[in-house]
Amino acid sequence: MKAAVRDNSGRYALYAAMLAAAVAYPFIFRKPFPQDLAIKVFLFGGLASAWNVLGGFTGQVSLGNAIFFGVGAYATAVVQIHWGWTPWAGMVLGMGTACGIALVIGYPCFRLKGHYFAMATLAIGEVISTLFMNWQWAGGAVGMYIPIRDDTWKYFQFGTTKFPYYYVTLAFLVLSLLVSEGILRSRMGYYFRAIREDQDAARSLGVSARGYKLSAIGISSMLTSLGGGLYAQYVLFIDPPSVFPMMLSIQVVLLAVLGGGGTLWGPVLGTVILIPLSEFTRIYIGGTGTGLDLIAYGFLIVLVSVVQPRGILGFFRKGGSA
Amino acid sequence: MSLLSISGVAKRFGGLLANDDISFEVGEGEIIGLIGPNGAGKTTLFSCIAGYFPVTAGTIAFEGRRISGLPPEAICRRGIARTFQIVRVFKEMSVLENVMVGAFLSTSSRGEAEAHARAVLGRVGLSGKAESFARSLTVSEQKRVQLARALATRPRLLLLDEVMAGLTPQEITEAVSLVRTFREDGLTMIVVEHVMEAVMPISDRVVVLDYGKKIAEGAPGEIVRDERVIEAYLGVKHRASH
Amino acid sequence: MFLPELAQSLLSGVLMGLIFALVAVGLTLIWGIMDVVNFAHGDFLMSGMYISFWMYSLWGVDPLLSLPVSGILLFFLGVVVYQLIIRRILGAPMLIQIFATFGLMILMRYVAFYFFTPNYRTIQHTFLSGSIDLGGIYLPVPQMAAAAGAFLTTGAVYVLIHRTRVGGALQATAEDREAAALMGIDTDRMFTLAWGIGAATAGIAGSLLSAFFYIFPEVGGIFGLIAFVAVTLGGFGNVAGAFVAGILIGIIEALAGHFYDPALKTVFVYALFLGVLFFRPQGLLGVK
Repeated sequence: MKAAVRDNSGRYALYAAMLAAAVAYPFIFRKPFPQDLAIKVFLFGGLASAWNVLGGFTGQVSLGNAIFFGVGAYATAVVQIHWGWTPWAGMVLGMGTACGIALVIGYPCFRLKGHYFAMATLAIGEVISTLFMNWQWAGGAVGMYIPIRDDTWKYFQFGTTKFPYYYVTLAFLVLSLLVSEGILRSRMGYYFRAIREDQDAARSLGVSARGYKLSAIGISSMLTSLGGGLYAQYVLFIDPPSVFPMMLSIQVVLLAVLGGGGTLWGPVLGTVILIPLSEFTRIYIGGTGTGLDLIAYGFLIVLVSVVQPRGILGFFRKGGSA
Repeated sequence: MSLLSISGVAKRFGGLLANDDISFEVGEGEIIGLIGPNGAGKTTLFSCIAGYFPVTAGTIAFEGRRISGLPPEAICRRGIARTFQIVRVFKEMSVLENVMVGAFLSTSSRGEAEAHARAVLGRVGLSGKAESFARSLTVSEQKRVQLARALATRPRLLLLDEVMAGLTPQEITEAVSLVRTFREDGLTMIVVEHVMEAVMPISDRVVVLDYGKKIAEGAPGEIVRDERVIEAYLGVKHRASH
Repeated sequence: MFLPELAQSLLSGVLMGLIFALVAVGLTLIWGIMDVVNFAHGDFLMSGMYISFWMYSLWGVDPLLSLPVSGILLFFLGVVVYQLIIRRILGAPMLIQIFATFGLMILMRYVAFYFFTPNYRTIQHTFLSGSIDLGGIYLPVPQMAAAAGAFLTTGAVYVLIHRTRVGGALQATAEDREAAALMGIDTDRMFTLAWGIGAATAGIAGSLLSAFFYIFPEVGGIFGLIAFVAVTLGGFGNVAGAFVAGILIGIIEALAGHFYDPALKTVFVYALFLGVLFFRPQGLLGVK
């Protein structure tokens, strides 16, 4: 059985077409709802791709990526509220902080195998969420409102139009994909995948497992926190339940795995399918209060695990059964 | 000066002394056969040399510098590569990608790594399978992938752990001549084997372990006549074919 | 003097700890025999709680009487979960195993959410009620009954594992699956049994709890987490270890609530969990 053969010219044409379509979209669909939907798709797609670097490529299943999302969101909010900086500066600060936290978490946690790593990230996520609930300087349980200003790029706020948010989140998704693609083509990508497949065998070939795993979580955390910052600016209100919840971590993982973890386009595919589905479910079947969408999530997760662990892309990738 | 120097190495797991005061030297360009009954401690010794276990006592030195205590990746960078007894290929990666992981040790360029990997695959006769997923290969093909992968790191010393097990007689003959070509390229090897027909003809010297201790060392012809060795194998007599 | 309050906290901790122990025993059974982490274990407990609640609300059945019903229903649920889901992911990569039970957890929790609403429920009048006054220390009878029930059930499981043939077969499968199969033990049946017993114990714990604890869809979360910590502390697959660890956690949690802020009790448990994972992954009593 052969691995998929690459044909570059066809692929690049396809990418160009997709990008053109994405750029044209908001001119065709001018209502807020489709644009908001697309923004959500781009944001989650970028987050799922970011998780994929750590979880899909390197095989370290983190169930706590919301930590970095929240850190990015809070950094962006805090620098504006307490120091009057621009949100962009906050996002940069957020990325640095998230990376630092990622390394601190990764160092001890990467010694743990499989299940235990996942559980540790869950536990740490919950601890951080609780800490932020009690941290008054960062708003505590009440949360923080980002002060509303006039529409400007400097403060990245636009009350009258969604266009800037659309293009910035699109850029975020493109960035995540470019980073993922760049990793996959490089030595780092090969080493990541080797670690995923068999860490000890990788080490016997000179791969420093700890170093590369830390790189993976560092990259993943920075991208994720950037997404958090963008979210904060779009919604202009954050509190621990909205940016740190376990469900967010799980959701991101589900999107990546549903589409096909470990591949470049898997996370995007999963997002494109699941986010519109959950939005429509929410609107037509009724409110977030019922938990129906979560029932669907749970069911889907079990289904994917049992029927096609490789995700949707697994149906298309040549290579046969597991 | 010997390439690899093992002095008084001991490895203890709880109450079990898997390696007990083992010492021998490996000269450059030599092929050392490491044999002994099951459970004698051969793979444990390999794991100690390759850095997977810290030694309980003794030292291991490579090219005059101490390596006991270094992690596996550092030992690989010093020039020692190994294969595993139970084949451990990267299943979800193609054969070529598997070998490239080894090739990347000496370069960060994908083009160079790919070229080097293809060359190594050519040497072990797997060029035709370069694009196949590793998990779709037979066990003996996977062993060759493992071998190619280790070779791609351009080692000076290669530790081969039971590469011949499960091979047909013809495959064994091919493997033996392949190993001989490696030696011609200046590669030093320690070969752990149960298949006597494979190990005896290619080894310059043979080290015999039993219950964690070294019980004999010498030329293959001497070893097969050594009484202690024959006893260790429970009376099974082996004669080298010539 | 605050000594009676401290003693009160300690005692409550032990009583709760016995329930934690029961939940942990079920989890360690599953974990030990097949190395699968059941993220949905807390929701088995939640199911047991709701079974008792509805039997009380609809037909006035006391939790003590609905306890066997809970146990039996959850046993079958465990079997079904194993046959439909777990059996198919036994050889799968780590991510998928985590995913499967995690998805099950979400599914169970939000089905409860949807059908029963998120409202906190309680069982108002139980057969055993009131409290015993022991020199300033109040021992609520429902909690004591629950603790006694947990103790007995744990004991029954222990006897099952260590003193019966079936238990021996379970242990053999846990220790070396292939060797057990070679000896003629039907490993599939052993796994099914483990899931059945594991779920049943969680369900029974739920029924015991329902007599005095709030009943709501997310209740499985905290008890599941505590079970994880207990299993990690006690050593995977170690029934006696899980028992001791459960009680220990009950005491630690009670003391944390007593000396610090009760709201931060959970953080303590999480921190303890992380501590064990990092510093003593083989558990206090475990050997691996």
